Amino acid sequence: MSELHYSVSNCMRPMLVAIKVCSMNSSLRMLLAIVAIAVSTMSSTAAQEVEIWEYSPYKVGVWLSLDPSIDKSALAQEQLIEDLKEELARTFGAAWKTEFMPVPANMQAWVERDIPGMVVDHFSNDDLVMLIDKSNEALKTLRVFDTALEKLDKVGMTETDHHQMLLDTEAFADNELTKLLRGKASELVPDYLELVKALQEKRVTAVMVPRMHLSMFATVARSLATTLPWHTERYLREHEKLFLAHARLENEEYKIVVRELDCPMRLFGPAVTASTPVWSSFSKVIGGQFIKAFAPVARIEEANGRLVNMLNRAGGLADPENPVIIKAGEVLQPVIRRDEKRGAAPMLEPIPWTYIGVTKSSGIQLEGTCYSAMGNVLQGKQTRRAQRVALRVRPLGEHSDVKVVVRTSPNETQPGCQIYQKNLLTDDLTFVGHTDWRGIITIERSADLGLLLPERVKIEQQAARRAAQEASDKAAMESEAAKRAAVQASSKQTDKPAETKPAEQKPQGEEDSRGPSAAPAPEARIAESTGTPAASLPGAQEPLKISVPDAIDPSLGVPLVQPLVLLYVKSGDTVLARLPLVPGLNEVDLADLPSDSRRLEAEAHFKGFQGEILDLIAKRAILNSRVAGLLKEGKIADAEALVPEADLMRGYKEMSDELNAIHARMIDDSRDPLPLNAKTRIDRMMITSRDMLQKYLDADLGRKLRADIEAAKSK
Amino acid sequence: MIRVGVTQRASDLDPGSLVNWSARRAGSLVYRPVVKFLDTGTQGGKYQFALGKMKLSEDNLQLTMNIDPKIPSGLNGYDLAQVLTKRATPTDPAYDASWAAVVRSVSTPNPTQLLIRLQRPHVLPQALLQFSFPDSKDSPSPLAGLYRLNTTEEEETSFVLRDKQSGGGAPVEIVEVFYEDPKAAANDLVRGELDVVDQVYPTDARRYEQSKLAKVSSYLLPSVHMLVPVSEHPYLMKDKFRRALMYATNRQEILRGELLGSDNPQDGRLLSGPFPMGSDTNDPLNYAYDSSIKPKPYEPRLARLLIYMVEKEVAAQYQKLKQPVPENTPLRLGVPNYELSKVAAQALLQQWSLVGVKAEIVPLPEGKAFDAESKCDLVYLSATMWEPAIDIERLLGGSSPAKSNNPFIVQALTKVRKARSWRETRVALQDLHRLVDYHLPILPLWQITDRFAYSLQLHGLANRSVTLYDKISEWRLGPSGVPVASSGP
Repeated sequence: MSELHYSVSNCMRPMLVAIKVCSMNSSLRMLLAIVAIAVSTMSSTAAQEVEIWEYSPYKVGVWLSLDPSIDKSALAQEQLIEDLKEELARTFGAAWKTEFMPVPANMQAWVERDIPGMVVDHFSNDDLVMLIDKSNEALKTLRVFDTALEKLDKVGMTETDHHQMLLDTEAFADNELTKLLRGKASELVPDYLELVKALQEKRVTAVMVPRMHLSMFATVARSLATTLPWHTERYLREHEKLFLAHARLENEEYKIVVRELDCPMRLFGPAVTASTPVWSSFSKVIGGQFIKAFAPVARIEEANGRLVNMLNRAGGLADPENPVIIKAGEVLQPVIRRDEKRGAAPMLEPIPWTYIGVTKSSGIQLEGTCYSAMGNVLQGKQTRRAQRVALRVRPLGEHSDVKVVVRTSPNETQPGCQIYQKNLLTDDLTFVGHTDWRGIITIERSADLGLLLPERVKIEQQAARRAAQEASDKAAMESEAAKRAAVQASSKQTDKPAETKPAEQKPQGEEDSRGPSAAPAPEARIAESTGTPAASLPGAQEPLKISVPDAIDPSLGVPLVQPLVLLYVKSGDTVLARLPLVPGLNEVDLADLPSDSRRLEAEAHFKGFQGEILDLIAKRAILNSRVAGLLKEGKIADAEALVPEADLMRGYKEMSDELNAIHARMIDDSRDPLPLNAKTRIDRMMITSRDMLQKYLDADLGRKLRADIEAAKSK
Repeated sequence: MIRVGVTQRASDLDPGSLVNWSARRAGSLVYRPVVKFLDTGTQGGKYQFALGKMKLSEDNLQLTMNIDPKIPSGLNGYDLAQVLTKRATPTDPAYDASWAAVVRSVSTPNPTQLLIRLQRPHVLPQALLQFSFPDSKDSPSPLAGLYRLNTTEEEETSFVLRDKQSGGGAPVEIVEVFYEDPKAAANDLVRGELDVVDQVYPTDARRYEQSKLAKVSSYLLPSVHMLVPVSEHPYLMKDKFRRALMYATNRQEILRGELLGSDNPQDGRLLSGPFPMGSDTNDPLNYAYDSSIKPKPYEPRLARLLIYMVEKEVAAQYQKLKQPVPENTPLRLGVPNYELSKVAAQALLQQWSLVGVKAEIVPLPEGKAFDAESKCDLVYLSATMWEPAIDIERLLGGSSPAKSNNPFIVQALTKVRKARSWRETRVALQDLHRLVDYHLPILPLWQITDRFAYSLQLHGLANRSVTLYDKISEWRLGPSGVPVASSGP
């Protein structure tokens, strides 16, 4: 990791830290503060080696662009900036080390016209990158820009880029690298096509081109990670937060757009806007937007299952009301940054569908619960090159659309998925709705954000339940052992063999005491005669197969102060995904899930057919019961009259043929390819249905009834 | 003035309504739908564009609508394009999910032509345009019908010609007289106090015919009757319970004994799905109906057993959730306020009670086909499913009050929507029929051939019209014996 990423500031003043320490209570904080004081009083070189995340201020850069439409004098505009600096200093105190800078010329147009549309690539589009001739064997070992520049005789450039380079390097004329490049950039051509040609014709072995034109050279050259002092990207390396702001006058109102870029994570936040007709309060309004746009950062120290421990950046430098302090109930979005060797571009992984709900905050140390669709994504060690942090979310909208698409074919939507929302305190599921024909469901930001059960509490409750269960099991075993001992002792006394009774059997007297009123209803008898308890008969449906916890004490929950919901996406009986979501954070959240259409279609048919099997089983049981009842009453003729009904019912073969036909249709590959996992599940449904047929329909009911009647006649 | 006896009072005016008889009837006087269903055909229905002509491309990917400037309306191509675009925009109040799922773009090369490009081939995109523009406070509908609503009183609603000059001899005023008792309407028709009765109770139709004092004619297409679950009644939400209701209902007996008074399948027949069967296997109307799926038989013992199973299932489910087991409260059956539905509902309740299912009737507000106040668990619905390929989406999908949340049905509707040819459409519809029979998102009852009666002095009625006022401009009162001016197929 570059030392510039969230590094300790070596200008931290001991006095400042000491003041902060006075307001702390815990001994741990005191210890950390002492360490911080010690560190800050060390030589600057030594201080850079020891990073204390929570006692280092954010390095904040500000590009504030004032539009020509603003009808105020230069002096008034300067005063606005001074007022804003004071406003930010008052708000963020020592937690921010702020630097106001002029907007670089190549970024001016973007900042003035389209801050919301900016992407990180805009920062490096104009930055020069070195390209080396791919076919040159002698240069194959060159991997580092500085070395390459030293070794090469000359470097090719377009005349325009060369001119721009001379202008850009004016402020860095004393830099050795600059001098070297200025000296070697001698092969100048009119345009990029000519530059490509120069490489192909071996007139030059290396060229420098702006990053945005790299694709033109892809077949002839390879790029080297190039870092030059005047590169716009340096702003991203020198700061942790870069705020882009543009103020203008429109319809007699002063308007401001502010957007934060988290530099190490290369992540833009949402653009926030505000306006005021009063110039004198404009600086305050702008300051307010900086607070809204700012995402404080926590470093993920440890993730154990869903329990996450984090450290609040600059938390030790701020009072509880400071916006840098992450509070309980707030929601963070984790990001992983992996730095490649030799200064190549970092790999940034904002983890999709993953959020951390903060459940405890001491200002410095944070504890949270991670909700992720991706499993335990935060587990693993923090290394020098893999940095895991989490940024506070800034949802500005009132709702988000969740769009469910097919993973392998993003243009294909998944309509009709059932969406449930899980209560983060009680685990209760509430049906929200279905995705529409576009595969979209809109999730509103609720006024009541609800409570979040801390993972630590959950772990403790589970441990307590386990302990209670173990104790109960142990007691039951001891009691059983005591009973057995008593029975054995008694049998010895009576000199009779001991009869052990299974523990689950009811005492004889209990059954007798039910009396006639407790006799099962005819339906119960018939249902039981099918051999399956009613609730487990095919077709029994439950909302979702999840364990139901004991009632949760609401006082254990942490009130959410930002929206966070956990959605379950269900297709028929299958849960496709568990998606945590911050409603209002993104306009559309895309969930690319495996296609479930073939399996769902099969489930529709098999489940429906299982219903028919059940009805048939029940009809047979009813008829059997009626005939038995008549025979018991001696009404043999009446019983005989019922037997033709059995012959009219569909039999095993007919049902089996229909089942085979359904199966063949469902696994038919000619319509579209059937995913292997879908086929496995369809085959499983087939087996379940066939088992039902074989278990309950195999016997010939007509023959059985005739046999019963014959037996009754012969009595 | 023509006096029309009606048993369903119109509180809404919507000529394209699928489920509201009175709204469709009275709406056709006041508004013209953009596209109107005329008749069934070999490849879906035949439709008429109110402003001109339309044509679907050979590849079923583009619908061209040519506006005839001679046809009076307040709409040009640009206006219509804007409306069609709005109907495909999810955030617009006029949003129609079924339309949005089909259309890719709407363009107007000139003010008299619209090119509607479709997302994928579709067999009948025009059928999705059966909407109308209601009058606003400031201006009349740009697609106004011949009449406007004049007065609404307790027992009578009057419609008068919008423009007497251009009426072309059409009746100046139509008065719809509301009757709660169809027999009273029959008597008044025979006595000459009424000119038409819009819906004749099937058993009364023969009386009319026998009396020789009035004529009876059938509507062109039958209505499909069903029960639609609309609540989260914990028992009704179970497939098994809905099957039990079907098995507990002797539908054939109700249809024959209570509603039709005959066994003639031309008058009505049992259904196993949401689509009409038509009159016979050659009827083009039955393209969606899979006749291999037989209606569920009357099996009260089986019904009782299934109900017992559901009770156990619900108890086990709630005990597992550690929640109190909900009571199996009486089902509230919403019934539109007209005789046939009330008679049918009474019979259903009586039969359900025999298997221990308690239920009560909740009369729906006058002129309403649905329960806006969520007072019902089930609603008795009579629908005109004349274009199954489109109407099933209008019934069970989109924003319909009968919208099904069953994932199997939602998926099957998507398949219907995505069908590219008539062959695929038919397969998808018959598959949907099978799933409806399996999972019962609606409880199919029967199809009934509806009839209307009219006095011998009234001429010009279409012999077999789709709706009552199809040929209203040709209606004339005169001495009996004058031949009917126009006759249907």
